[in-house]
Amino acid sequence: MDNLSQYNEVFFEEAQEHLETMETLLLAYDVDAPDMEELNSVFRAAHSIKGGSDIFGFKALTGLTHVMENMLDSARNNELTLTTDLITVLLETTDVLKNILSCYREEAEIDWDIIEASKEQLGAKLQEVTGAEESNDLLKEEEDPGFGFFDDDEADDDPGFGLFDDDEPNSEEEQGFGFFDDDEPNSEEEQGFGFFDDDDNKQNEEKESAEENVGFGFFDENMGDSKNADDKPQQDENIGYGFFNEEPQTEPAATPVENTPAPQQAATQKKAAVKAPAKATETKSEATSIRVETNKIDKLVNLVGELVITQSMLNLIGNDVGESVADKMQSALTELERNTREIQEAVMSVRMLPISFVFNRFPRLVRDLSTKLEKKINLIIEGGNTEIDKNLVEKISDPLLHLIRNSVDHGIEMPSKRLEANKDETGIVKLSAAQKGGEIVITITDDGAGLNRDRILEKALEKGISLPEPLTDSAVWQLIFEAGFSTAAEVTDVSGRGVGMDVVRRNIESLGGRIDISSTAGMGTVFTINLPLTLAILDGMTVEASDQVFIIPLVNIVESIQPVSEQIKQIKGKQLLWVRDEYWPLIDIGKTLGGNVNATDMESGIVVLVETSKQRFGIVVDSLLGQQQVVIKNLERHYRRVEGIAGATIMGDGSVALILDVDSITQFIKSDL
Amino acid sequence: MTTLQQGNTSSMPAKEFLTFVLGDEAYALDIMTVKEIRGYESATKIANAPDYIKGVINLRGDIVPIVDLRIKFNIGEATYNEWTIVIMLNVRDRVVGIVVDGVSDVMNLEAEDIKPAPEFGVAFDSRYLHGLAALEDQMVIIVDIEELISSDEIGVFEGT
Repeated sequence: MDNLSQYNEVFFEEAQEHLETMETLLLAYDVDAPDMEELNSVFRAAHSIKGGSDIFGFKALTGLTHVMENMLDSARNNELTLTTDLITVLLETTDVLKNILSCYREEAEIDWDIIEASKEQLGAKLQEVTGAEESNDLLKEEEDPGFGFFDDDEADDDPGFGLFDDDEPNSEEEQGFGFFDDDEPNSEEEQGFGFFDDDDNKQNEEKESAEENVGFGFFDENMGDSKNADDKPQQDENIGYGFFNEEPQTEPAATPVENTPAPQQAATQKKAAVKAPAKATETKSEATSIRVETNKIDKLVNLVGELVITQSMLNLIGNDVGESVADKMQSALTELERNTREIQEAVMSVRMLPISFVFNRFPRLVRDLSTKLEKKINLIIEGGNTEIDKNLVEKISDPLLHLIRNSVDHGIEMPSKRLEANKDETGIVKLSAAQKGGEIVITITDDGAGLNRDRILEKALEKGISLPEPLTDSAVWQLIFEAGFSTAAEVTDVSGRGVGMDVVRRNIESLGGRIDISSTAGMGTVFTINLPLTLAILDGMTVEASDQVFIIPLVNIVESIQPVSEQIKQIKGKQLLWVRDEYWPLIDIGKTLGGNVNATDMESGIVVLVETSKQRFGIVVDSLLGQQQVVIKNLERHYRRVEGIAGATIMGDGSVALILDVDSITQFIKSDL
Repeated sequence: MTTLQQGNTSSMPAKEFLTFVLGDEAYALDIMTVKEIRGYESATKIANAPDYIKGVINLRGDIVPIVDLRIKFNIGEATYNEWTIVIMLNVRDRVVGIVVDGVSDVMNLEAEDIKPAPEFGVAFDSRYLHGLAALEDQMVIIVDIEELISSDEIGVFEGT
């Protein structure tokens, strides 16, 4: 066992990944239009966990996944239909599995009772459903054999044609229609063939140019299309026919039809059809990605940073090289510079992940929450493939979780209320991400009731929070970020525990981002989060003050000016700069951070005008050295936190320059100058 | 091997100490905390830091603070030339450099070789001392460097 334990971590990670795959697929699983390939993937994931856990001796996982696997196996063999109810049970089981996994991971006590309970629940469901399924079938045959099975499928209102115009026209159903329409399904085995023969001819006439393998080609296409086939009723019709046309030729007696409803039958064939390509993609994806520990990447990033520095040192030396080799040297250095930059970009991109890694966990959250709160909510996710730094991915997850919870709980109203307000019963929460310049913008939009200005003000007074001046809407909204602030009328199970909005804002600001709210009563609320692309690189302006070099983040800079004496005003001994019809407080950075006693001579100095979410001011420096991208180094790794400093970077000559934290410098305005 | 044999006779196995010089005084610190020894290079000043914190330097990509113990404890003269030495220390998972006048030797000491320090005559507070040891005719002051560097008094570490 012990020699295996070195692989435990690998198993844990893989199992975790499998569980997440299962969850995602189960959430996406459309009970009305089951996708056999997805079901197979879920099954494979369960099977992998079962196998792995058995080998490694994590028996708690093995037992439960085994039961789960059985259920999934029945589903993919058409012995049972997965209903929403069953999906919920399966999702709950993945939760239990996740718990067990983390117990093993942290070497904590395993709660066998939960496992047994979960097993029993699954088993009971399995029993119940397989039993019910049969009786259902009987029922269907009695009352309306043609359409009976659609009872499960929500399409029974308008089974004949509605389907084609309907929003849920999937191939299986149509196939089903054709099937049942033409045929009295009293004896399935025979019905199939008679019917197909019929159609066969028809189809041949219609589609003479059909390829040999129409059946298969069709299904594949159909697979991909089935979700957006809504607007193509005609094509659907064809699909239906094509299916039946080819089916008996390719798989005549293989259909294990014993009272099996048509959709499943169709699905089996689909499964058969896509099996081969699916396997191919699987091996392909295995070959194109590897799992790497993050600290290896961090090391790589660090080394490349060093390489960039060495390269620029060489550049400096290259300038002094004598004439005879100067040209050759320069061109080699240019080459080196380009290569280094490309390596740097490539290495940096290794750290980038699509934000869907975070977003993907929210459909589950919203599903659970809306069930619990008895609200109807449609979660829309956009821009999931926007890439952000892995560190950000991890750190943005909690704030987003909280904001979405907030939107679901406080934002979206109860269905009855929404109807009263002439809104659609189903509320919409939209989560979107996009890259805008050097920033990632994430928005959480809901079409709920909007923030209640009066309530917030009332609450703020109650909590003794000082009100901002002037009392603009946006200033009022910002109040909800104050510590201990909650607008919920009562603490519900969903909110009112764990973090508050103040933590959300603090987390986002600690990532160098900011959060804004806009809200309209009755229309909804939008939270907008701006984040830097990466925590590792920053575009900065290199400045010199008191013989020391500082970097001012470019995002904060409005402009740099050389003030003339008329522009400098004095108020109570403090200097202000009059520019752009505004008075800008000034901070002498050399004096504040460089420890230089003599203030910079304003006449010869340069003022960099900067802007933060809180304030606008001018930073007085001796000179501007230039604009460059710098690799951000953490100062706090080996030293304590320094007010006004966001981090450090290493300059071309190997020396260290400090990066200003413009936000936290604002605190010096009051004490400085 | 010697360590093992001596382990029977003393409560603490023999340890190796790096001796260094501050002014006229000889000090020693546990060699296991030493990452490397290098020459002094000018550091980037940090805002509002005490004068004995010379600033930060680039140690192969890490930003590392440099503390001049001579200034902090007012021993010797804080001059910087090509012979000024910085001992880079690994303390509680952090790297901190200390400026000293020189490093002299590595010595092996057992627990019984270290005598308790008297309450007088030493620049360091007794909290940061293991004790005194005799090396030939010279007295060596054994510093608990981990305790010293991570103390509030130095202030390199956050809120300890």
